[in-house]
Amino acid sequence: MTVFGMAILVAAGFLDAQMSAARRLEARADLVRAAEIMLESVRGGVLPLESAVVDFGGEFQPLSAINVKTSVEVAERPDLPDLYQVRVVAQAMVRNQKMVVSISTQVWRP
Amino acid sequence: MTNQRGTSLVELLVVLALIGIMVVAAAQIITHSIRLLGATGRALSNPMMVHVNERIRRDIQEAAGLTAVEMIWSEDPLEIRTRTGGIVVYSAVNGNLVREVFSGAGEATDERVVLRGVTSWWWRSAAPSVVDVNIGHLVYLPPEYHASRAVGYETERRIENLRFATRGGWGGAQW
Repeated sequence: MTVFGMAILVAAGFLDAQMSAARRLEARADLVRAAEIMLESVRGGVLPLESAVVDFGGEFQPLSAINVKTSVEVAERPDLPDLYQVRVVAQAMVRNQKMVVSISTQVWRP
Repeated sequence: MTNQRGTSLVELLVVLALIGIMVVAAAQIITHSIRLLGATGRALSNPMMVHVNERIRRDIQEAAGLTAVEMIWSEDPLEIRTRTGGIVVYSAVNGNLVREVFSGAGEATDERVVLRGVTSWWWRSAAPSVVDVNIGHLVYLPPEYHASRAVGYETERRIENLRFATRGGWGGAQW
């Protein structure tokens, strides 16, 4: 019984690690896609070029069952007018761990 | 009569058999886990979908405009006017996403399938300079991904929500 109990514990550990890794892979793909969509929204003018927390529920449907929170941070470049430093952030809780994906780029808005 | 202590041969064989079963089961779980993780990773970073994503992004970013603007989701072909006067058309034909290029004179210069296994194709331009694309497609996963080996379980349908912004020039924001 002890031997079988140990076997069950080890197997459960393996399966849990496997599920966790698969979920994190799926969640990371969703976060990357959410960040890309938000960056394109800023570039296309759908979202104003200003720092904000954005509710993207109607625009983005994740493949996995996660609740994605998105935000955008905008900073002006004092040395270069009309050029803005933009950082979009997508984050979610995946199995009690916070996952964050961010894209930093520059947007020219004459 | 003497007390006999220790383990008998039968008990030893039973324990060895149990350990053997455990080792075989653990090896199978580890092998299955490695295959499953590999399959999940490959499905998520599907190289064909990455390629399609980048190709549509490049076409729309450099576009001069669309031949027709659809504010609501449409299954019609997406026709992109290029800055050189040509037209690039994306359409779903017989389960394939096809990209056609026409010159300014209307002559077809290129036609190729960019994605197979397409189950749905929708696009809209809800705001100037922004095109939303929704592609449903089948991902062909290896058999070990599924517990069932029955026919039909080897594929998985995925829906990609994509958004692309042009670099300006047709009424929207420039960037």
